[in-house]
Amino acid sequence: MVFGSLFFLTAFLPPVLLGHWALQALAPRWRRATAAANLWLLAASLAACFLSDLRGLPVFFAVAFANDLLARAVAASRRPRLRKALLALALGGDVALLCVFKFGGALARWTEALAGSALLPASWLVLPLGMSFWIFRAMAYVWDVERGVHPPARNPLDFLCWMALFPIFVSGPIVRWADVAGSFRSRPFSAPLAASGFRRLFAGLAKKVLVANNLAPMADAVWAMADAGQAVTPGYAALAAAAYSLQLYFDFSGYSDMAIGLGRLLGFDFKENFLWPYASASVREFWRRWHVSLSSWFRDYLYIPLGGSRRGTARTCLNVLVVFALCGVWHGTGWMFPLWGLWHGLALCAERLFGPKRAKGAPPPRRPAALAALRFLAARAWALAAVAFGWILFRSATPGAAGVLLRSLAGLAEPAPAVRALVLELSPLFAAAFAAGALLCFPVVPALRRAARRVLPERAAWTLESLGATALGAAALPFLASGTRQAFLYFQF
Amino acid sequence: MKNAIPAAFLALWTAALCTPQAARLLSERTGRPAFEPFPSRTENRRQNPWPDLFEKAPRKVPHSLYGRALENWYHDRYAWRTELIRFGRRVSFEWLQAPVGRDVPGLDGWRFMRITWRELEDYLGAIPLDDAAIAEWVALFEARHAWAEAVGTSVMTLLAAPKAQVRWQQLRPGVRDRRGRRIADQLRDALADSPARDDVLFVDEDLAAAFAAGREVFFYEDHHPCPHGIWVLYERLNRRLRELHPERVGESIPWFDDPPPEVRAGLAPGCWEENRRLVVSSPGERQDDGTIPHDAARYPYCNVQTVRDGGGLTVVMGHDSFMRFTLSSWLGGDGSVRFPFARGVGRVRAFLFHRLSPGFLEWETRSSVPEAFVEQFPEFRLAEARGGGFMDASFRAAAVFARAEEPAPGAAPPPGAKIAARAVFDGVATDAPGAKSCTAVLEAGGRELGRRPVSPGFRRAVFFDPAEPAAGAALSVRLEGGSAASTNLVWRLVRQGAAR
Repeated sequence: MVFGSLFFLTAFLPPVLLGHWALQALAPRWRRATAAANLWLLAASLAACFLSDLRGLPVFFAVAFANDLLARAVAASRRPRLRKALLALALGGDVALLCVFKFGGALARWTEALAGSALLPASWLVLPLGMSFWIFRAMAYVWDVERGVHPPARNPLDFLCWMALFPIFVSGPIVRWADVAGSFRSRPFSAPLAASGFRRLFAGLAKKVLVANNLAPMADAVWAMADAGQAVTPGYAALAAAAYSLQLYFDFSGYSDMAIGLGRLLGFDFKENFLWPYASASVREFWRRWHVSLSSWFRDYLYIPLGGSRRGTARTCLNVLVVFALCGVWHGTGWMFPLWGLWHGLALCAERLFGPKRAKGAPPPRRPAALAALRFLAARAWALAAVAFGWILFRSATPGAAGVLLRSLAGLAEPAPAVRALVLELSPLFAAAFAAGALLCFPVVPALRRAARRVLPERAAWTLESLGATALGAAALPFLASGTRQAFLYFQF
Repeated sequence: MKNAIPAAFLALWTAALCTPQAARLLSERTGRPAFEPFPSRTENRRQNPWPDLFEKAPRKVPHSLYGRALENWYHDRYAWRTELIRFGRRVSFEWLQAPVGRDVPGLDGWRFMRITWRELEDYLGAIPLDDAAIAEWVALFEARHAWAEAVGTSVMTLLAAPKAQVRWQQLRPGVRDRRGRRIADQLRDALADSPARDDVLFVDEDLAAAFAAGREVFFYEDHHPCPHGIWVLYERLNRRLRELHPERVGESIPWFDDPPPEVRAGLAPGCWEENRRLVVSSPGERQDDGTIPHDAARYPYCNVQTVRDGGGLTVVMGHDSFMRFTLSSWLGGDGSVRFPFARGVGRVRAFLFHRLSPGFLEWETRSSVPEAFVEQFPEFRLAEARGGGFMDASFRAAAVFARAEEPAPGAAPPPGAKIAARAVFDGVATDAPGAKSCTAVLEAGGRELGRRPVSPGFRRAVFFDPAEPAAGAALSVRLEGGSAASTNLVWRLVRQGAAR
């Protein structure tokens, strides 16, 4: 069950929302209304798990109960070494389990191919849905308890509800317990918050259905050729790289918008996961804006414990490379994901070594306007090019396919005859999606919103924005109805 | 801001999400269905059933797929789904000119196809054949030519030009202007000096000529030829049959824009269009499916046999929907079929979605030899299979035989020369009753040069791999485990490099 399906939006969501709002509305008169709402949410989340894929549920319950138990043990322990040992047990178990399910299938297939028989059938090691995301949340939870950031959840059912919370279960964002613990204690109904949730939900739906899905055919067609070892013209290679960069952003940020919107509908306020990453002036800035919940997880729970940037340039670069290689590995089992991670690590190291240096807190140097504009553009062009290059590695199934595409991009490969059929993908719909994507991946909407709020009364601006969201939702509906199940790209990770 | 406006929007959006289901429930309660059932008839599938979690095998839905099955069930019952899909397709396909699945929009509402029906890829020259693939197709056509010559029939292949090749005017300019070299052109060039060149019928010029004469030859929204287009295709076959059998094949069934009453009444021959279908009036013709093998072809219930009073040539066709779509209903349940073949064709055996494999050719010649075999498929299918896939060992040797040089009458194989030999047996029977085959053995001076299985039947032709007989040794062929009423053995000289 995906957010962008008719079933989810019109059969699953309305009863869940109505039941939840009813319980929220009882809060002023009934002391246990929030606990009841949490239970209702837990039931809905487990139903969503059941309808999505049942196979991973035993593993999910095992992880949730083990981490909750260990977090409570950590909190109860007064001896630091025991706390560390319990933390190591929790983290080690989580990582081991993630590795078994994430790479066990591939390992089983490799050993079967090499030795003729596998220790375990690959079919037994199906990665439970959303495991990469919920196990990271569990790890952060235990670690934060050990660090004293927050105490363990008072009610284990609240913890289970947070772990299973359907808006963030499958593909994040990796919401931390500290950010939502208060909402599990009290979550009064708020019409403005819920309405803004619907608006966000419709915006995310439109991003996915109207933009990302209509960019996909061109990227898919070019990569299908590259996977088959067929080169394309430099123009098509560049177009496909750009289309995929936009598709990935609108797909995943659309999903995150929907998750944030669903959270608001249920009374939660999740942090932003995408902050206009393609407007970054460096790769470093890109990672502060792209998939923020994941990059901040790696920063807080891996990069800083490794020493961060406090131990000299060489150690910092090593830490960056380790963190990004692991970030790549987190995304999947193929060779291309670690390569993609290493590319970003190298780009960050290059920026650290050769980029402009300025003392912390020092004002930016004064430059002539033309030079400043040139620097502004050059910095963004570098960031965009480095990120797009990374996406070529990320999207390609094999190094060979990436090589074909990169050689095509450089004009060093003879295009295959099949490239002539790519013209069929060039339609006004693709052009419209591409133009909309290229424009809206920059912070145009917030600027328009600010402008509207300056010239219009608050009510009118709010109404206008809501009507816009309604139009987006209505425009997405016919595309949803066609029944083609377009899963979000990040489901596979 | 007060809560009133957000609350109003909240109510509106929640109601909007719930409305279709409420409408569907109310509609079902009142017993007056207000919505078009989904899937619509054009989707050609049944509605998804309610997935019962506790159903016993084999109808049990695996637990891991239960959610998907439930979604599928729900989607088929979502109110206004048909209308929403139509609207979505209209926006994408008609207004924003984007391909939807395999359908690609053209001008004025015309539709072309890609991916599974690769007419546009072929038009653009995106799926050219390499030299080896072309050589394999040529070898197949030459092998069939040699086989047909041996058993006394003809095998013709009608390569149907798809819509994009003939009605390219309706393609969007961005596509239209990028015409490439099509596969059929490659094949036509490769067949230029082949003995099988007349066996392959290209029909693009015939269809283009009909269009130039003011006739529409394709449906605008479908990939099939319209009634006049299909009549043109049959006319091409009639012309070839007339070339092969000038004495026996007579005039065609004429086309009428406004058929006279006696034609409409079925008393005189004629073809015309009615309700977008080709109606064929052929007095004395009837459908008789008695001897059609019902295990042949993908849709055996669509195979038909027609016979005409007075007899005539027998034509066996393996064809796709081009030759049939407008003639009768797809399931064959909408009246009997009449084919617009010329006078003199007495029996037509038509197999839908069927190709002429050596086994099928042998089956159809088990008791008599039809005068003609016809295979029809669209040009781009040449890129989807290898010609070698339609040949067995005997046919591969037949391809060599077709290209080999005929010796002078009465000459013996020269010393050191490679020869290709062909044996034709009439009235083959096996010694063991019920045995599927016996063996033909080719010998030269007592030394065995090759052997081939031969199935019992009216007439059988086998071709042997090229061999080098000893100098002065006489060639002979015999049947092991069977006998034949008569045997004919001929050989040809294999030229250098001719063996494939």
